[in-house]
Amino acid sequence: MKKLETPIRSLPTDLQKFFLAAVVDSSKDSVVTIDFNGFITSWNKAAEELYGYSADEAIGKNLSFVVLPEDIKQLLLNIDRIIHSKKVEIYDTIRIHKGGQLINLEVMLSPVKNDQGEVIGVSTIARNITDRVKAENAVRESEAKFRALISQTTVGVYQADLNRVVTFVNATLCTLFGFTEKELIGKTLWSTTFEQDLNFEKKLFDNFKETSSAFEFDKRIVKKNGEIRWMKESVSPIYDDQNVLQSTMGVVFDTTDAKAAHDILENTVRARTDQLARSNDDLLKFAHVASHDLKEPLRKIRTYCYRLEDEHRNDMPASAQSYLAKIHSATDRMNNMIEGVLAYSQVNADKGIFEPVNLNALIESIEQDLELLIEQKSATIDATQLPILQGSSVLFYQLFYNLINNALKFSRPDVPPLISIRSEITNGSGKNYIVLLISDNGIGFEPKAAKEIFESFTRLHSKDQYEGTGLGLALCDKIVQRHGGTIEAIGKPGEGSTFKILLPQDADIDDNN
Amino acid sequence: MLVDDDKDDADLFCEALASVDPSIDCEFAGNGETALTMLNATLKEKPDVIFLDLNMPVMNGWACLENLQKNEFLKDIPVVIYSTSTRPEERAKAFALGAFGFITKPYRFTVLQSILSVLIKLPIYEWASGSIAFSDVSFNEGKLWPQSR
Repeated sequence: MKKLETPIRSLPTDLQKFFLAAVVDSSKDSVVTIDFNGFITSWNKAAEELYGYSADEAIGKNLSFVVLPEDIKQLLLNIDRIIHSKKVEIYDTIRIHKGGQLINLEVMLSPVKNDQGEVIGVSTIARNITDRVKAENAVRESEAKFRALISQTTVGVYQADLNRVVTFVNATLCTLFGFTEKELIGKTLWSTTFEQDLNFEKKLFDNFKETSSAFEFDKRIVKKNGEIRWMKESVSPIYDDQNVLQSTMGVVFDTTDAKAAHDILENTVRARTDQLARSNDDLLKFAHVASHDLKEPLRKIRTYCYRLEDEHRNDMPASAQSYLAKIHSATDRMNNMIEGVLAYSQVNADKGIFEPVNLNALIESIEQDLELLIEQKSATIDATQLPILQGSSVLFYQLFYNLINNALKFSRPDVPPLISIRSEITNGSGKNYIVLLISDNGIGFEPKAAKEIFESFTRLHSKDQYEGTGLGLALCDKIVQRHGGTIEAIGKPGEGSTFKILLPQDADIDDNN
Repeated sequence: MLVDDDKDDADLFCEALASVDPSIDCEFAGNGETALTMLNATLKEKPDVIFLDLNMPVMNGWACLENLQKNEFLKDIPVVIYSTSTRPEERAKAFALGAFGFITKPYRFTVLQSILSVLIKLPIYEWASGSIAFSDVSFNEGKLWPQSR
């Protein structure tokens, strides 16, 4: 197509009119011209589409036929202004479609002039803004809903910029803080935070500015009346349309009462626990003193029992001898029990002697002490290379002595006891534990008794079958607990037992056990 | 000399000693203070050995032992602790304070007799190194037993 070389103005008038008519007709905006009385003189394609009336239907009619009754007066006034060469600003209005529905328009009025520059009519250019208005309404409605929610909610809500300057607060927050909306907006949130909690809040907020991740924290505020209250605050990020952190929204609620109740509860629990620990201590002290003091007279009884036996056996009738034997064995048993109680009560008495203990050496010395019994039973004790333990060597000695002694004692008749001691390292909940396994091939026990046997004075057999105080394993349990560990027993009747001890690798004497 | 607040134990001890060697004299004090008074003033000659109990009123064995060690005149007399205690810490403490030996009071009279019979028969200046097979008796390594009578 050949480029137009001459501008429209220099064309002959007829041609000019053609061009202009073509422009008007193809315009997307509705172009309607009216005379001084408002009668329609031209109606373009876009107007046909906008109003739904064809040019034939519209031309000759008065424009007011598409105008809302209440706007007609204003329209006539506007027309008048144009005629008198006064400007009319673009305005929004609502007009009526042929189908009856209302359309939102943006209207621009301008004069139509002849060659002499005289105003001969008015042209109205209208643009359909229904969609825009709909969108605006939707936003307004949603905002209204949002604000209603915020204002009615029972938690405090605020909006603040990245300097923590408050831009919005709801009524509840005002009540919580004791300030009016005016007093809060424009101030920073720092101004209401209790000074001791200020650094913490600032640190959290600095972190938030870097990470943009929502966070929650507890802090105290100072209300207008000076009262200090605990609050739980939850801060969320608000982004702009470039997805850059722009401001924050916060939700606050008062936790003072809940906290007070919680603190009271905690204190009560702590007080009761202390009380319990003290009474536990008292019991142990009593057991210690009682058993210690009982040893003296018992020693005398045994001494003179022995003397009677050694020096007067031949003077005594058989009945006297048998009575004496019974007294003797009873005092032996009593002695064992007292020793057991004494040892049990002493586990906590010694204040944390915390040293490295060579377990293999310890077991060797136990083997020496039990030499007679080991020989008697033709027993074998097999210990692998064991780790160095941290703790009380006296207590560990008692622990392993009891376990090995038990293994020897509760052996199967005619089956030489085979005791094996081995160790492993295991990991649980992030800590390393030493596992010690003491297994034997003795008489074992019913699995359901696995917990019971660790209770004080509990024995699974009658005293005639196997002697013992029933305190040995209770003592083992207490010793292991004192070192922060646990002990459990696995048994198979007729086959044997295994005792599994777990001790934290970084052991520390636990004075609360 | 035996220092012990328990009359029964004292009788047993003296009886055991007499049965082993009737020629040995046994002096008796009921507590540490009485013992010191006797040693400093009233006794004609120093005892060869002092058997010392630990739990006594007025002055217990620990204080008595300390006093004996401080006394120029008395510190050379070997002291054997004679106590009901079985605790190794007490044994160690006794040796640290200068005791010669530590005997846990035996249940059996016959055992006491055996211990005493061995003790009094130890040759001159023999180093007692714990080779005695009684678990109730232990000796402080490096301390000399005196010349026996």
